[in-house]
Amino acid sequence: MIVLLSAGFVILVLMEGPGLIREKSWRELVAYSVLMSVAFAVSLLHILHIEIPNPVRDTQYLVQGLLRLSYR
Amino acid sequence: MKLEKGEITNSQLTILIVSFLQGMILTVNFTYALTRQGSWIAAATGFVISIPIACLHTFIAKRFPGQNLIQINDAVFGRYLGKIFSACYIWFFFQLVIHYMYFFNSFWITYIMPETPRVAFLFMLAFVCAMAVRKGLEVIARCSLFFAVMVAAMVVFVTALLTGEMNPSNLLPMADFSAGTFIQSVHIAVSIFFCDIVVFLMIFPYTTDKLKITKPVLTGMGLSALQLVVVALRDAAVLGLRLPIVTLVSFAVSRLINIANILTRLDILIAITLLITFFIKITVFYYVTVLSIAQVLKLRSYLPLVVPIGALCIAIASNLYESDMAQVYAGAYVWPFNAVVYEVLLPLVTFVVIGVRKLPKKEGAPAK
Repeated sequence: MIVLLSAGFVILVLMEGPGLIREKSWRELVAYSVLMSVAFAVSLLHILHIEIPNPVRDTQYLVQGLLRLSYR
Repeated sequence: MKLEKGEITNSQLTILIVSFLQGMILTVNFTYALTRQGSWIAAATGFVISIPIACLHTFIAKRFPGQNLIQINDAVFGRYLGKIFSACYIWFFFQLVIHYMYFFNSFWITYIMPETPRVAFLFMLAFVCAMAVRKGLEVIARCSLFFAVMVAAMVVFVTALLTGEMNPSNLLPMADFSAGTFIQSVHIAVSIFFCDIVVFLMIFPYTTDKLKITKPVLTGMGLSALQLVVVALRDAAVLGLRLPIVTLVSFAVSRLINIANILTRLDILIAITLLITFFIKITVFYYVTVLSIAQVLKLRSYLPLVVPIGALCIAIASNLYESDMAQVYAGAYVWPFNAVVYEVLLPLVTFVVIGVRKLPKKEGAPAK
């Protein structure tokens, strides 16, 4: 699964990366690389069943735990 | 530099808003557990309350014609505070993408193909949405015309076929809920059904007539609200007191259609409706997320961000909730409070600052 995921990301990078380098779009390349690395890391953690920060849990904690906003 | 080269007409904007909001005919389930047969009253009240909020959004856009939300934030709050506001909005749009993706995915896995791996539908959905996002706003708007008509036709068709199953007495008791429950239901209607049109603050600058956007917005909202009320009334008239115990009501009622044992199993029409409405909804949020990030980072194009954001969405959306009931709970008890910050509170702060600073400054006016 990890090999499949890595291969998928490599294909995606090969599809977009060379074009950005050719056009000398360095700013776009940095943004693309950072976001792609984050996406790969999150996907990898997900495959390895390692818990990642969950926006739902965090929002719930913020709304109901910290701000104590509730209809109940 | 303008990130989006395309432009849509104001009538296309109306249709896009109708198509974008039509998703609420399925998310209306969040209110059924609370206001039951009176959900249509909550939906209609939510629509009325949403009108001034939508006018607030269009007021802000009309004050800065040709500028999107990120540029408006920079102009109103300054370079640094404006970026913080923009980051909040981007986070909100991103959250909406993953939530709707989860909803879409869980529907197909729960009702249509239960043996399918969780990420399979997400891959396909993200791929199609990414294609639409890469094509740009004009293509999304052109698709929405076809989709809006199709969904409206399905609502009429399913409602007409269900007339035999409807019982007017099922609509009673119409107001068997407390004031607090009603307020909560209206809150859900405002924050989940209507006011996510705050996202259009990123789209208004790409319309042909930037100063006449209030009418398309209100018309779009009105047409969607009409469909919502029809669906809520239909579901209540068919199911009555059984309304709160069904997970996806429209889907359940469409299974009751049986015309002479020939027209049966029309639940697939609801599946298609969900597919279409959520495609437009997710595409718009996805498009706005990448456009906003590109604007904040001052990129020349938003296209390089489409794939990474899509991959990130798939990874997060595949395991967002522990169960479907957890999403129903979050939709009823958590999300309305979260959404109101971005849909009402932040635009209200922007409105106040515009008023206090008398923005936008006339050209040639002395800088303070």
